[in-house]
Amino acid sequence: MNYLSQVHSLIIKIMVKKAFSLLAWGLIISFPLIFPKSYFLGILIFAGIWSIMLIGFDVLVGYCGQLSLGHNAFFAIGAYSAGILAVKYNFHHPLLAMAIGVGISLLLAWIIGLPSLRLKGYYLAIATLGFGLIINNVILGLNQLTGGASGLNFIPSFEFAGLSFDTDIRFYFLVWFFVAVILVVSLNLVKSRFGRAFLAIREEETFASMMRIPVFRYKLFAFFYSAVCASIAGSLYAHYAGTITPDGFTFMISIHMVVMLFLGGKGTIWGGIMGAVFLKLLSEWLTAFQEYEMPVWAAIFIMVLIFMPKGILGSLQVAFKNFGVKTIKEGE
Amino acid sequence: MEATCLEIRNVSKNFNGLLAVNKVSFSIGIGQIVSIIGPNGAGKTCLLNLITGVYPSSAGKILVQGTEIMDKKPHEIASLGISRTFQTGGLFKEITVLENVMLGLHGTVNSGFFSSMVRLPSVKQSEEEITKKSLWALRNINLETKRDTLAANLSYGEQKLVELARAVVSNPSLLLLDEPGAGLNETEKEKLIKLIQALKKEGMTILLVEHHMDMVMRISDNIIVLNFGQKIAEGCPEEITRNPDVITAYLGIDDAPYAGDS
Repeated sequence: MNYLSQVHSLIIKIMVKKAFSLLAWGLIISFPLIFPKSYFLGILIFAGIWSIMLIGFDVLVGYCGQLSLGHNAFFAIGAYSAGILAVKYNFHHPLLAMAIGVGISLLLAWIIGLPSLRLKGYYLAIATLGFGLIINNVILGLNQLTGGASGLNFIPSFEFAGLSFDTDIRFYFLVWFFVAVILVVSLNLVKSRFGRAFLAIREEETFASMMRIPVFRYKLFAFFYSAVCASIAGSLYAHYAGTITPDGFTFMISIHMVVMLFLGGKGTIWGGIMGAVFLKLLSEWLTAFQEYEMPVWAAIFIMVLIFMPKGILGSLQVAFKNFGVKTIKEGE
Repeated sequence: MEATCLEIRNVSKNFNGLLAVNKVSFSIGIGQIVSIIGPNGAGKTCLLNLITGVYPSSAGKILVQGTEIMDKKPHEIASLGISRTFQTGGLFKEITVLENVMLGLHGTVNSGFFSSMVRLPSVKQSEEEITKKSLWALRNINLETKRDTLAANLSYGEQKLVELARAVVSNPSLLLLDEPGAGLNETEKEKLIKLIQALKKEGMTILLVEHHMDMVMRISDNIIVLNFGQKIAEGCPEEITRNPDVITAYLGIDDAPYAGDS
């Protein structure tokens, strides 16, 4: 294949990719308009909330290569900030409450990130896991503030500039608007020199520092970035669910994050959305098998790692890249 | 008197009792090509690692253009204008050739996280400039057509070329090459020699660790010989080939130094 036809097929592939994303967004936007009373609206709202979490998580895990098992903590902080401010302090500015939640998450990300990110691999995972457990316990213990085990009820709906997002359709568009913004920002980030730097750090930190990359500082940024996304997702979740209890922010959330991201395709940004939608739909189908939730998730994870380590999107990308590349057959 | 690019003063490195580098001293003038040779295990790569800050030296001083670097982090040292290639291939295998070379220019740009996240016009522009410079570098080594190939899919010789291109694209003042000739055939070695000589003409100072004596003798202004972590000889190629200590150190090993007419 000569150079010119290589460039030609590259352009076609870029156009196809853009067409796919336009199609995806077209579907996302039109779905509630076509099926306004659909049961699936609720599922897709949760998928959107998880997409926000996973896009940020992918920057840390997929691109920068640092595995955290404690991000359930940031999800919880976002949710409880929104809930506590609204319910206990009568603070009815959800966007501001979300910002405050982000601030608290950043502070805690700094406190836990500074020591933990000096660790690698399993040690980092365990340190963050511990952090997640601690935060969950703290929430359980601060009875007066968080409602302890019974949690917070009657969290009001999200409201901004006089508009109340109290119906499923309105909230659907609110959530997916957040997804769109975070998607664009994250894509800009990973396509920039910082994205290349993250990939370098993921592969070999010593070589990365020779590229003048301040490795620790960048790891810290990725950690902050993913914490912010998880916090935003948490705040939105609190307003939608109306009720939050510590049970909903355990270590299982971190497990779900990892499985969803790996299934969707880590290191792709879009994979987060893919994994969230896919597994939220799957969860619905599996509610009949409540007791088998954990083993099913575990089985999915193992199968992904063995058969599709690049995830759905990753495998599609590889197939796409190889599309049109002729392999020489015997005898030719 | 030539200005000094790199100065190594009584540097030692102790690994829990193993003295990998033992009171080594030398200096390199700006624009020189200096080679470090010695049997395997002599401490050559360790010395390069000390210069680039991979680990701290146990004693002594290392100065880059007058600046002491012993307490600096690797990325800070690299930012002084030092680039390096690695013995075992320092390319990032999971990204493309172009992305690898673009990483060479990472430290030459100032754009911040937030400007990149909103893709300010200044960021877009610097990204275009980086791409242009990287493509130019790839064109120089005849690998522009492989720009979107994953680095892992390149041949060994191509990988070494790309790693070199990545190292020089930022126009460093000091270039450290760790066994650049390893595994190359005669034609590739010839290309490498021409490349290194061209870089010297551009004013780059080059320090290389090498086993291929023919290459070392042809291009070096100065040669430093290490054995068991100590400097046993220093001088120009002719002096080194006649040095009895050097010949003894290499006795019994296949790559004996080039025995010129003596």
